[in-house]
Amino acid sequence: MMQMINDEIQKRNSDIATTIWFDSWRYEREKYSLMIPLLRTIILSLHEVINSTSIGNEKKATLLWVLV
Amino acid sequence: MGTGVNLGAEAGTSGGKVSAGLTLDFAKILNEFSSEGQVHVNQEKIYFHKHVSDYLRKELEGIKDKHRLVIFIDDLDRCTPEGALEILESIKTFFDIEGIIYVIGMDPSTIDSIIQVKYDKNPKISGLDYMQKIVQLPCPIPVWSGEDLRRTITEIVNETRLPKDITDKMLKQEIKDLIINSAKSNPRNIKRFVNSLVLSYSTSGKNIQDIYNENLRNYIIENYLKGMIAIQTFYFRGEKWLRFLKMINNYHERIDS
Repeated sequence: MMQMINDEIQKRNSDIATTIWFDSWRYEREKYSLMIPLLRTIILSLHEVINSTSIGNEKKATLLWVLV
Repeated sequence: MGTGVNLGAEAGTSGGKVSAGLTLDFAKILNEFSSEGQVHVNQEKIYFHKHVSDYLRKELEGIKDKHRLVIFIDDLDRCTPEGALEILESIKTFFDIEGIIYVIGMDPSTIDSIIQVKYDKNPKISGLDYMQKIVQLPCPIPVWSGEDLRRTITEIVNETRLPKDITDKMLKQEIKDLIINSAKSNPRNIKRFVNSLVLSYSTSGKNIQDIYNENLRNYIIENYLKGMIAIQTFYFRGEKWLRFLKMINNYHERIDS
């Protein structure tokens, strides 16, 4: 069902929404915290969104600063 | 602001590097994110937002009117109760940010065990109460109807490479209903069950195909199928079932030789 919702959003609303899939069980053995891979996934996707939308270079630069 | 911190490295690893090539401890960074907004790495003081959620909030500020991040967190019930609770608590406390929508997939029957971890078996707090504070739109998955399950069996069986006369037998209404009852109407169990039947045919059922008399062959196939379902349902699960198949195989090989 989750996959169906994901497919539907990508099909109909890809211009206004970005979907991120996080299989929490894959990171079950993460040494410190499950939130770390989740945050990393979110930030990477946010980076892609900002790169693919018409946001100013200044914004991109701020994000890159965090990602470098 | 000082040196940048790498939160964007390959997902699933705990380490990271600053631009100067130094390795950072992400857990330590996150702790410090929530406290002082700075961290010391090899005697170098690095500044950043006070909490990583502040950073996300700020970055989303510019795009939230135009764009949404929809985050699917799947199989949360397969994590340990501690891990699942950590994700739920973090979403509720820090990452409830405008512009981010979370879709959480989990078996509601596991919520109570998660809550027990937090509230130390306090009977006054139920898992459902807790989830109602976090989830704005619960969406229970509807129970599959018998017709849906029968259609699923047809699809799975048709994908197998078994001979047509055998799949035709497997697709008989009474056999399908037997499978549905045996698998307790659970689609995942049904798939496992059918795969297991296919495996049994591919191994111990091979001799049936050599029987010349078609009537006898059909009789054996049908009863063999029912027998296999009955045996698997009542006596064998998981490894026991595989051991049983191996035993039958060995038996056939001894008879053949």
